[in-house]
Amino acid sequence: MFTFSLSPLIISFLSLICFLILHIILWNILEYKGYGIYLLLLLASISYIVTCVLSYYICEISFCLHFWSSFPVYCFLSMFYFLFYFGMDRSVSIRILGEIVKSTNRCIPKDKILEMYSYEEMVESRMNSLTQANWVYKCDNKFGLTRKARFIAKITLCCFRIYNKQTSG
Amino acid sequence: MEQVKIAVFLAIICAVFLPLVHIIVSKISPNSNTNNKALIYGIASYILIWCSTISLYLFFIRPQIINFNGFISGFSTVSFIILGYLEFSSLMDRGFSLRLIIEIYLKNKPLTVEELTSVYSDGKGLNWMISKRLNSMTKLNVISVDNNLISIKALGILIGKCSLRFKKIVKMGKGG
Repeated sequence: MFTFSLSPLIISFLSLICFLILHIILWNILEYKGYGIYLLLLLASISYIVTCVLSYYICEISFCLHFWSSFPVYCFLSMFYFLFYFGMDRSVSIRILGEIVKSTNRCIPKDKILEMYSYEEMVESRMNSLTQANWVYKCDNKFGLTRKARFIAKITLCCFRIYNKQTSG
Repeated sequence: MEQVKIAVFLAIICAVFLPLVHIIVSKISPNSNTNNKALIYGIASYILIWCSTISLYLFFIRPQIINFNGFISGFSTVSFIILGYLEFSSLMDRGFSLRLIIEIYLKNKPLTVEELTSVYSDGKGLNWMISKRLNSMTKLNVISVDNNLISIKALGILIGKCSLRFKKIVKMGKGG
């Protein structure tokens, strides 16, 4: 015999909707989004907590009863959105597609992509983001690594050896 | 409730098989195509092992009532871990910022934008990176490249338009 409760799923989806609304409102207000990931995590946590509190006071659904069912589903939905968001934000391929869609014939020579989206712009914008997030420092037009970036580079090279990766980028 | 907790815990414990199978298959056949296949084997084995442990649990415990929420929570946990691992794998394979950090680390000195552009990915340069991205998009049937001319296909137009719309809604800027 099977049993199934819909309320944990409803709580998960309502938390996600609450998170998306807060996210869109805040992102339209904020100028600087350099701490995007931390702010998104904070918003996701707040949304879940607020939904749980409201569900307890309005629908009398105890947190202990639904946590193990609603939290994993909410984590999955949030992770899915985070991947989508950072894909849109950081993906070079998505940026190229967007540039081609904006062009008049939706058909452009390869060199034209570099005019729209130059190598220097690509690298400079990334290095500036990394500088703001304290991964990299800038001195005399040169970019050097902070301690945490050096640590991450070491770990990554170690992972390349473990996974037998010849190249990346 | 116990079934839900057990499904989630089993999903967390079985997660060790995901990187394990990925690494073992990568070591057996070192090749970029095999690395993608190794990832798929890792994911498939993780899902299979989790399903098997759940089946064994149900077989030996034989509960009178089976809580379907347990399966949903467990599968959500499995999916969450898989998505996280895919992101980790994608970052290692294609991470642009990470590669820039690695180049500066390998050169062991600060670099200018021009120097980074030329040394990118062991000296292959950004031209190679763009070509790699265009090849991937061609394989996915998002664009076609013919005599240095890039044409966007229906799927590419859909993705491109959605990305532009999304960036406008969240005021993301150009991205990339």
